[in-house]
Amino acid sequence: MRFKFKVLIFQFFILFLIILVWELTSANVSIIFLAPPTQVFPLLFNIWYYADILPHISITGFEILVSFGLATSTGLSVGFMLGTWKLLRTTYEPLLAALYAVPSVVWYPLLLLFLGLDVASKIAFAYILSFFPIVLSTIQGVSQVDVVLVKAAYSMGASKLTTFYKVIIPAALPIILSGISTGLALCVTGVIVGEMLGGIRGLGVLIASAATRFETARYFVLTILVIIIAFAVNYCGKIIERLGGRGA
Amino acid sequence: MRKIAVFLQIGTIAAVIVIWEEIVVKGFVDPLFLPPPSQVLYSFATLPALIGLPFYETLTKTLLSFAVGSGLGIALGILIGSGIFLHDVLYPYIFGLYSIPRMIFLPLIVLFLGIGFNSTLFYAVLHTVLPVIIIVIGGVRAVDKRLILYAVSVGATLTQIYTKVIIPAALPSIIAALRLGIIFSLLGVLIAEMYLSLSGIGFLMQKLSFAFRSADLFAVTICVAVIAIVISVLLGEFQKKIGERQI
Repeated sequence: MRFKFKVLIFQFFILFLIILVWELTSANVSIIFLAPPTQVFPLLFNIWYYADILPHISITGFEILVSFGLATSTGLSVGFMLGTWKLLRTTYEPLLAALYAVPSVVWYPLLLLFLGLDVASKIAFAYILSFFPIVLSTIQGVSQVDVVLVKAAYSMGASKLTTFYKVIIPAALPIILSGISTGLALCVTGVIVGEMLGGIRGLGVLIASAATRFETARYFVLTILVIIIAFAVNYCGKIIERLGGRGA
Repeated sequence: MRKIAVFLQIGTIAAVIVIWEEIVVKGFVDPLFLPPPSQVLYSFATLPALIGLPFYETLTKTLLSFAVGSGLGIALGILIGSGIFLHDVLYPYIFGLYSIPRMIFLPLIVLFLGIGFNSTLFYAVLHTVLPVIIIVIGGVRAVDKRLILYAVSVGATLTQIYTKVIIPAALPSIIAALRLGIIFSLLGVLIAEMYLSLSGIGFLMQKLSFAFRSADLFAVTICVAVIAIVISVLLGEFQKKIGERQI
């Protein structure tokens, strides 16, 4: 207990140190480069400041939700298909793994060209980012299910469908859910990166434009907002992961 | 089984190319956005002249940021992973930084370091160092405590404990971190170049995209993707070899 308390004190001390260094640096450089925390934090708690930011937050949230929904549904169905069908798995798993090794941002200029600057290209980019961990972990989870369990279910007269629902899915669940949690975190990254690299709506666009206009106070408020959103989404991912731990 | 799979793989890739060619030639998609494969093949011929210089620059930046980022990451990872108090204090910060989209810090880095080489390098190092630290910390903390206890009981010095026990035992995860690190530094360099820069592959790709030179863009994209896949496969083989020697 005392150890934990000491750790907590040091953590707060580091946070305090960061803010102090930030304040001292900003006192010595122009506000064009760094807005002081004493100016950023009041803005952060000023409700009226969000009037024009709120629509962009909802756009970003919409992009995250749509891309995550698409990636989860297609990732799970493709993953289950490849995981249960051995020939398909040996054929397509290496191809998927190879595509996963490519730095994802390589695809983004092509997506901008195909889908334009608006929402669609961000959704597609976040989809590409989160599809691969979901599909690969589903394949891994399904193919790691103990063969004895499946054979036992068959020998007691379970149909293929029953075996799938009652044996394969529960046994593969922990690995699949951790893949989904990774995919969810990557959706946020994909949407923000996509918006910052070129777009017309969303939080990432606001961040990029605030920085290029040297509005550093606004930049910091938006950055802190993105950090809060990312933490909230990651917390949801942790909850999803914990669901599997209890099921298995 | 293996032969059929390889046959199917080649078949799939061939089918994708044929269908792609057909839908463009039959006029379902505008070739301005999706060039037919024959045209992409044609622009591969002019590729060396197009990407020669940017490629060299991006490669330099990637290798530099990989060297700095992974060196720093491994050192910090061993240090933080072996100290219980240090780990408990710092880990939430490191993991927190790792789990947010790091690109939101890029505008600030550009404001301070300017457009070009310095900001790209700094961002790529930041991009590389965090995953490397996290993997190395995991490896160091998984080292069997009894090994360290035994080394202490036979009178090993602190340096010996690190060089003879902790680092060899954590070697597989260090290699894994290096493998991930090179991909992350390439990713970081490309992101920074695409966001704001005046040279390099990322800048070139963004420029080609905005200029609607889709055939050239396709050729560059395929080229970079293939290079990344080759690097990853080679390092994977290397990792396997090291793993075998360990056992």
